[in-house]
Amino acid sequence: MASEPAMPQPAAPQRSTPQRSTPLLAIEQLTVGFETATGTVHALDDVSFAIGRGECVALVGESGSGKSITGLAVMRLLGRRALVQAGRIVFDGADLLTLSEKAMQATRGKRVAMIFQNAKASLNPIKTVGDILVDILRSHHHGLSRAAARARIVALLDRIGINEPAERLRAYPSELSGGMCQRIMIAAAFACEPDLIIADEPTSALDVTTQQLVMDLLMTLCRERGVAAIFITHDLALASEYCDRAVVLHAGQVLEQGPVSEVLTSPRHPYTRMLLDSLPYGKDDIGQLKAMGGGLPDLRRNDLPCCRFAERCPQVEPACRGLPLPERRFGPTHIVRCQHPLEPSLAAAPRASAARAM
Amino acid sequence: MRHKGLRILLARIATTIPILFGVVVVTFALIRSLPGDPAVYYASGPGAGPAEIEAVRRQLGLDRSLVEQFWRYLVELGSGRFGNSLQTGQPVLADFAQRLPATLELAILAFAMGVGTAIPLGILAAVKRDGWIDQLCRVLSSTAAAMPGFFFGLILIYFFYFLAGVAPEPIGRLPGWALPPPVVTGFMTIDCLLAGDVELFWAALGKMILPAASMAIFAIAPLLRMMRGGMIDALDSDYVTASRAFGLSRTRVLLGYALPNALLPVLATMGMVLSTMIGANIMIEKLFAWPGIGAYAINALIGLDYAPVQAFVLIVAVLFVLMTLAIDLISSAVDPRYGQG
Repeated sequence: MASEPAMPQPAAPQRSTPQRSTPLLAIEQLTVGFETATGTVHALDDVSFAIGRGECVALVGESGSGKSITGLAVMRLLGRRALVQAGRIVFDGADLLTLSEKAMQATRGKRVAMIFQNAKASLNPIKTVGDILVDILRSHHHGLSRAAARARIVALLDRIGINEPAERLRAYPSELSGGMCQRIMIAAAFACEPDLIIADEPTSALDVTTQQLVMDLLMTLCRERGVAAIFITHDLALASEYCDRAVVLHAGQVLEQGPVSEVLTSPRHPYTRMLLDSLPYGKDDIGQLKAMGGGLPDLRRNDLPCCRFAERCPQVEPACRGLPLPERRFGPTHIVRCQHPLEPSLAAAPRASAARAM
Repeated sequence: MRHKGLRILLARIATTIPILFGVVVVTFALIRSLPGDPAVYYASGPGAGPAEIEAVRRQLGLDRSLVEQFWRYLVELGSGRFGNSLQTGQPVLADFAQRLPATLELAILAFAMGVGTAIPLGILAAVKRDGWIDQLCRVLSSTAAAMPGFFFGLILIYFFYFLAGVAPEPIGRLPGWALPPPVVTGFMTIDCLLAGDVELFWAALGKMILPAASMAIFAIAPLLRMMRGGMIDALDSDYVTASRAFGLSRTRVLLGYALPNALLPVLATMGMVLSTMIGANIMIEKLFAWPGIGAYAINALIGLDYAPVQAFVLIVAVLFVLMTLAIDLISSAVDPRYGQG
């Protein structure tokens, strides 16, 4: 991590809300289960949200809430035990779930790219970084020679501020730092100029300063090139700093979604409230810091309540367990799925990003 | 980076010397703790009395103290002499040189059969996990692991020679009627071809099938397990998911991104299997009357013929060391993480 990325300051201004009429990606009522020896894991339940072109949406929630599964479902890489029980994933007008494997393969990397939490492990340890990037580029540009592909990648790495790109390409992943590996992955993701990037906890494995560099790089590239991004994270501060909208997942259900400025400052769902209360940002003393109550329910249960948060919710009542989740709108894009949304007064709280730890 | 191979080579040589010394000591001690007295064995004739026995003992140097015998043995080894066989009367090395090609030829065919079966099956089992191929492989590898090679050899002989009559007589390298071709390489099949005798080539190859299959079955169990396990690990790895997510085709990912990584642990097992096939398939050679070094060594052992047994163990030990070294070097060439830390 020798170099400062030669990038303008990030913190791009919040964009005007993109046209709602034609989202780039619309996930509609997606329900996914996994067959295991001990029963079906009901991983995603009726998940719906959309992303406009060039928009950046944060997918937040605790570990195990279904964030990564949502991302992998879009890539259709859930593995052979997964069962998509219902729903559609409409990308640029076509349902990805009904595409042929060949068409899906042409979509992966080329139109939707994904980067992962552990960049070092995501790069084959016995291949040089250059060989991996060349393979990716050439799998989408038939007839491109290795030398030409390499030249394009060197130029790309150079453009995104990686020093001595040719030297880096000769290295094996184990010879590079985690931050450098993640920047290489970001380069790989942008190499084929996709419309959407799914970033699954891209900085969780990095130290805080590297985190900042990598996030700045990723988000600046997205903004500059008009690439939409799904940013999967459990770090609400990062989400509010870099994203336009947030989608809050809990146990495979979307409980609240809307602009980050609303969702992460004055949440209307008790779960979002709970997440924010457990963060240190903007709190004066430790008494204000509250631990998350309870844990995620066992998703193998067949008697899950309709609202899977019901068993942890401070204001639960019988309707929560028995009635389907209602959809309440508090603005053009602010949707809360709760029988008893919070009052805005209750929710007046410090911005999550106000005192971001640095 | 550039001198990693050299470093591994030096490190391996440094550890080899104590290993080989240990092998020499243990073999020397073990063989002398066997019941039986070579002097009595070789002096026994119609008129052998205590005087003759004592003369033989002195001639063999067995009247000296153990320490002195060991020292003399080391000095001989140091000057590259392995002694003479009492049974053949020839230098041990000459005996080995004469028999090694038979063992090698059989081992290579058996190794090819084992690897040729285990690698594709292991890959299929991993790709179609829990499918019928996987179940079949599980049964196959458990059976192969549980069954000694010579027992499998007996079963093969029973079915294919005795009952079905499709296999040739399980004795030696050539049918009884055949005259061996002139020895060029020592590899019977190759010598047959060099002599232009295609019919004899097929006969020689036919003779190798049953013993090679018996040896191969021993190799299949560990190779199959390693291949399946390595492939499953690779297929479940982050780098395979990531390369799929970047749009590489399933075949490309399987062959270019999962298989090479999965083969690394298999490579180590291959070395072990091949060394064992060359050095430790005494029972198979005995069973099929195969004139290789294994049969030679066991005859020497039964005949209390110290020099060939000691030489055999030492040669096999050197073979293991060389094989391990070769694997180290290949692995370090393929895997940049190998041998670091």
